[in-house]
Amino acid sequence: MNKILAFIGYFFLLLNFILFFKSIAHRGKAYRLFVFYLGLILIVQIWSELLIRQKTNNLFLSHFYFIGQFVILTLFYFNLLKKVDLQRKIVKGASITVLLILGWQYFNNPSLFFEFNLLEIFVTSFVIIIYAVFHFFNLLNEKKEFYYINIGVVMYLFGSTILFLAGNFMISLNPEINQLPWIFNSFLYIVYHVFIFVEWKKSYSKKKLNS
Amino acid sequence: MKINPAYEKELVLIILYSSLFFIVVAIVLVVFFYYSRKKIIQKEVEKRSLVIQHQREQLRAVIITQEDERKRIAQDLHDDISSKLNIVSLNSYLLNTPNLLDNEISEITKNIIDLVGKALENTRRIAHDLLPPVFDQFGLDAGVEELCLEFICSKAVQVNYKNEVEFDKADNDRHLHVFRILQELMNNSLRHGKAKNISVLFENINGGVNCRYSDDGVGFDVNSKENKNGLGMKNIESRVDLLNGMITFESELNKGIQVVFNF
Repeated sequence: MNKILAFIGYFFLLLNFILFFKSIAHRGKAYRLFVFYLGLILIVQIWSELLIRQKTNNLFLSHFYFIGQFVILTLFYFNLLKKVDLQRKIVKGASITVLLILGWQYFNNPSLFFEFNLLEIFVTSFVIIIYAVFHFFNLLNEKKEFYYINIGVVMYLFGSTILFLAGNFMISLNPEINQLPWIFNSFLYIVYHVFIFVEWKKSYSKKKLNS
Repeated sequence: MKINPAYEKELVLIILYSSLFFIVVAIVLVVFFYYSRKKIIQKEVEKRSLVIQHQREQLRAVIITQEDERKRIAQDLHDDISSKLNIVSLNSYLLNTPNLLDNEISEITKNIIDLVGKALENTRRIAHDLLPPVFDQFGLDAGVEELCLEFICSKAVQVNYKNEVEFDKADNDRHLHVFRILQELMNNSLRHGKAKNISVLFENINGGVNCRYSDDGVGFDVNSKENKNGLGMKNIESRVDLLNGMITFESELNKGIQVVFNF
């Protein structure tokens, strides 16, 4: 069950990446960053799938996933929040603080690298949600830009963060039931990519009509 | 770490429900955003259409006034100048008639000179009505002073004019609006307000100039739509808009009016 859902998720990821990548040439910086983000998660997913096939521990990839997602989405939102100086300052300050804290944590305890790092999961998701809310706030009286992606980000991060936080703990549980949260996560992941797909459909698929 | 299977199930359920809870929070956030946005945009549209309507009315007022003004000028030209010049031309033809007596010639010439003189005087008056030369040459202060004198000369009204501001002649384009506003206000006071006393005051306030105008006429109901949308009012408002100023009207029936605007 989980496998099927996961593969549907991968399929959407690949599809979105291709669709967004196709028209990357004439788009702004935020768009490119988002394509970069899709590319990064695609690589992480493929890599982790390969490691599963070889039956090796792929948990260290979660750090690439979370920190990579954090860094790129931070840049993405930093670009979107151009108009409000205060928001940009907050994004800058928060991002640097988060990276410093995580760096310090890994420096003190490198063994964290081979399990889910709860602080990392919490802090990166939480901060991105705040940026997304900033973006929502700015969209209140403006043209909808990256509106559906933003909805997707908020929904997925809100829902999945708690699942990842329970990740280490669930490994110790009975394998019969510890799959349930992961199935749920796969499902959320599909919803997330459906939103990204809707964004492409609504905002970018009719490019030729405009130009 | 071994955990009782019943607890295990419970724990997984707790995890799932917490996740679900957060998703519901996210959905509530999105829905809240969606409706707030709708509301805000609706409000903005309403505001803009109000502004557009206001501009339209002002434009309409400007066009109507322009047409009225043209009509008035055409009438003045026709009645005061063309008619006189017509007679001048008739008289000039008369001069061509053979065997005219000397006294006839001198009478005709006298007529012509008289009429041309009157026509000239009328041209001057029309030109003066269009743009007072005093205003043009000596600026707002002199222009307003002359305007007040003209009203005083009509014997119908007493005008009290006081100026505490040094006007720069380079700003004459802007001052013309002020002049026209005062002209309109004074005409209204005399015509509709039946005022006996009018006072005009220019004062310096915070780097800008304030103009206080008041009369003791019959006044009008400030809130009535009819008055608000009158042509004169619209014109005054447009001019204050052009000056980037603010204007306030205060009036009650039989208590005169007070108008304050800045520029």
